[in-house]
Amino acid sequence: MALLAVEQVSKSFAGNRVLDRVSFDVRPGEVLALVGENGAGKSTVLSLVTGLLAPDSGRIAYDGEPLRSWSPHRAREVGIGSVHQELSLNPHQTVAENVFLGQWPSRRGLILRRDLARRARPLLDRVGLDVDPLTRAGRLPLGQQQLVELAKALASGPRLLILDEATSALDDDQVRSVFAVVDELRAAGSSVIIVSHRMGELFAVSDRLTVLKDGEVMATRERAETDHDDIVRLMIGRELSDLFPPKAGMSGADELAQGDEIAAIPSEKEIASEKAAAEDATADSADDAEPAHGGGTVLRARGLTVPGACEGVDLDLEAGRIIGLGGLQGQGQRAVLRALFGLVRHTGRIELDGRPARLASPREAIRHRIAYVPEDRKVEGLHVAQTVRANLALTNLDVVTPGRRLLTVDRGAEARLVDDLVERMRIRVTGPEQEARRLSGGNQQKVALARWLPAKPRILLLAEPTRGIDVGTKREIYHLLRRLADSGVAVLITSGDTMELVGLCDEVAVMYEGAVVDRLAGDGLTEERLVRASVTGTVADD
Amino acid sequence: MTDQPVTERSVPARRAAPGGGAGAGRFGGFLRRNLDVTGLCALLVILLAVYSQYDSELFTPSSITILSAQFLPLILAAMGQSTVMLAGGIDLSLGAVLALAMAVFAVRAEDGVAVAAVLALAAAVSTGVANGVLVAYAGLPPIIVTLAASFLWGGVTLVVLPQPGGSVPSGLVDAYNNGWNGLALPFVVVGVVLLLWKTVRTTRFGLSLYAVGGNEHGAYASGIGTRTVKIGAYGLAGVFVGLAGIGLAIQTGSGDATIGTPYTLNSIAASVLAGVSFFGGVGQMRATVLAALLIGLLTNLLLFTGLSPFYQLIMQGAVLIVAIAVKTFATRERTD
Repeated sequence: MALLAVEQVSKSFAGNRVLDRVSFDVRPGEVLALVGENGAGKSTVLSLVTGLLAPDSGRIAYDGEPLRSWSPHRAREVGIGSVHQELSLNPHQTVAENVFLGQWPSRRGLILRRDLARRARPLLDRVGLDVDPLTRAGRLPLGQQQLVELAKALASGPRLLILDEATSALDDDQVRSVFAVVDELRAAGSSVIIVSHRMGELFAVSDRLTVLKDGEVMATRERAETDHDDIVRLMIGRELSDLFPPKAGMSGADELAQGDEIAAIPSEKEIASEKAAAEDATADSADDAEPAHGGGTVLRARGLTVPGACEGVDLDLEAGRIIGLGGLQGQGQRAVLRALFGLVRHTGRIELDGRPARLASPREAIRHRIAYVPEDRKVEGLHVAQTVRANLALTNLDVVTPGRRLLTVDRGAEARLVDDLVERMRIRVTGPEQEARRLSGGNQQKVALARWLPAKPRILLLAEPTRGIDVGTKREIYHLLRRLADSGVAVLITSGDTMELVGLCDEVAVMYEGAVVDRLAGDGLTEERLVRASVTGTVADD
Repeated sequence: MTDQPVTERSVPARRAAPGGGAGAGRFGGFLRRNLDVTGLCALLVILLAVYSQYDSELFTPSSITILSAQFLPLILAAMGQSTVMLAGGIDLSLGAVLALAMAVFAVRAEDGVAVAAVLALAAAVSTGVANGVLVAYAGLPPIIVTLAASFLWGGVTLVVLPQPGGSVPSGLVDAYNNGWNGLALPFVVVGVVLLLWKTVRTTRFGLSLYAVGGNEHGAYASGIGTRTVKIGAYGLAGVFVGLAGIGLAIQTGSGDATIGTPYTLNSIAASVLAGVSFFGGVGQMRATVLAALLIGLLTNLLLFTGLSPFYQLIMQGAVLIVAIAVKTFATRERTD
């Protein structure tokens, strides 16, 4: 009998279905890998198991009993330990206090620091962590904090251990200690569910693999009966061919783009106004797919450094091209974008159109017609409590206050602007007065992007443009970005989604520990090479 | 956070060598770890030195007794505020509740001091629990809940005691303010309450309090009943505030519905000066006691200088800003 059985479970957020009748099970003494792209629903389904979320429909049974009045507290009681992507440690408490967080062993009601430290020691040894249990957890580097999380999950003697990207910040030695723990648990008859973006790890440690895609289970395979290609094919599915628009310089790109019915962006008159830039782009793409130098380069960064985040990054953004920043999560990609938008202090040389420029604040970046659509739409990208109208008008005050008469908003101009953007971007709203937070993730992203368009950006920076967005809207956004590029905009995106980078970008710079370690373009831009460079931090030479 | 590159390689895992390092290094480490307490102690020494210039009898037993009687309510109020702040909340109703406890005690003291004290404490604790329930279950922001509660309990207090009055047995007042068999009672109270806190701090509830304040989501995901903890924090604060109200009633010998208001902001000032984080999870109660003492002494000292009350306020504000700014810069590197 299965230890954990997930049966026909569905879950939606704000009308966006993230799990659609998901079923899988975990047997005692088994390691199950959950595989899928970002946004496939892995973390969501695990949150249902650990009691952080409740399913909309379907059933989850643990040890033969359906989960009732489920909560993290109950989950821990019955022996489900978990290490999540987001750390649950309290940085201000000691390592020992964190290891036993919420279930501190006490003597007659009192918890003694020394006693706690003594009891934490063997657990820390088990995960290969040689630190003083009385250190504050927040003082440890990220990787060691992740191991403290693991020790914490082990403290309750779990029968089911959930590792959700638990190795993302670990070095090779640390990963080996984690896998030793997994083997130990398996040998003792406990079960493990593991999620990781490193495919090699999954094949090394799991017994079965369940593949999720867009909230549905594609298949569950015995490890012995499958291989990387099989799993990747299941992850990506069939729609790859028309999900992405043709790249810059590919023959017939313009015709295809014209005939595309999805995103009629930008409008004809928009393109006309950007004619000069567009001609540049067409000229470049007519030659070949090689990086064009000279006229097309809008922004040139040399030795871009943000202390503690990225170092010595060289980057050329050209009109008409989409450049991607790849690599594992948190290798400095976001810092590059934020530096180019003047959000973080940086050093290095930046040239715009061949002239040195200083991007010390977002205000200056905007003046240079640089636009930034951040990763966290809800915090930086949108005013979620405000209406779609207010969100779109706020970045376009010049348009809605024509002639700057006392800086009052011309409601007519505002309405025209909003209607135009909503229509062109196909934003699904009940009306301009709908609050941004009521929109689905995909439509929020469209608003976040749309608010920059009237200013006719020359450089568009996007962080994780499609995170948490359903596949249909993803497709729209990919085509939209390509259209913008075709009209002469230089686009730079970061993404943790390798498929997206390979499918959408003309060139991908792979970052590792803050530096660009490889650049992939043309035929050299494949998922395999991208993943290898991301994981190893070295040039993929084959 | 995600911007930070993974740098384990550059930080070799090593166990802090127990007992290792030079003696000076260990002492330095101790100072750094207890920067809040040591810094406050240094400030206190300076303040006491200046103070003794104005009051030559500062270090006599009777002077110490009177001063501790005077400062006890603020010390207890600050401890209540710190309790709530440690759990990530704030209590703007503290002054109103303090006055309520004071009024209840003053009105009922004639019938028996013990009964009056129990009633006053019960009143303060129930208001705290009510705050906690609203914050934890209704999910309302603490600042709003407790602001509304401050009006509510302020009004209730006026119903209980429309005009300053009530009477506390004079024997008790005398023993409290002038010592009981040579014993400074307020001093004893602070000691007992600190001991109580120390005990609470080593229970599951105490650790949960810091855990919820430090990372609420993490605490919830680890199976901690975050709602219960929040309610408990406000309830425990009620104990401190109730004791503060009783202390104030005994000190002044009567009740006054309007006397509590300044305690709200003073208790926050003391907590912040003590290094209790507005975001919760960080802070030490002994630092709060020291900081409350500092604020009390500073107020008295300014009174001695004979400056006009207006300038006293200006000075007090300026000193607070400077003290907190210095502390923030000194500890910045530590809390990055």
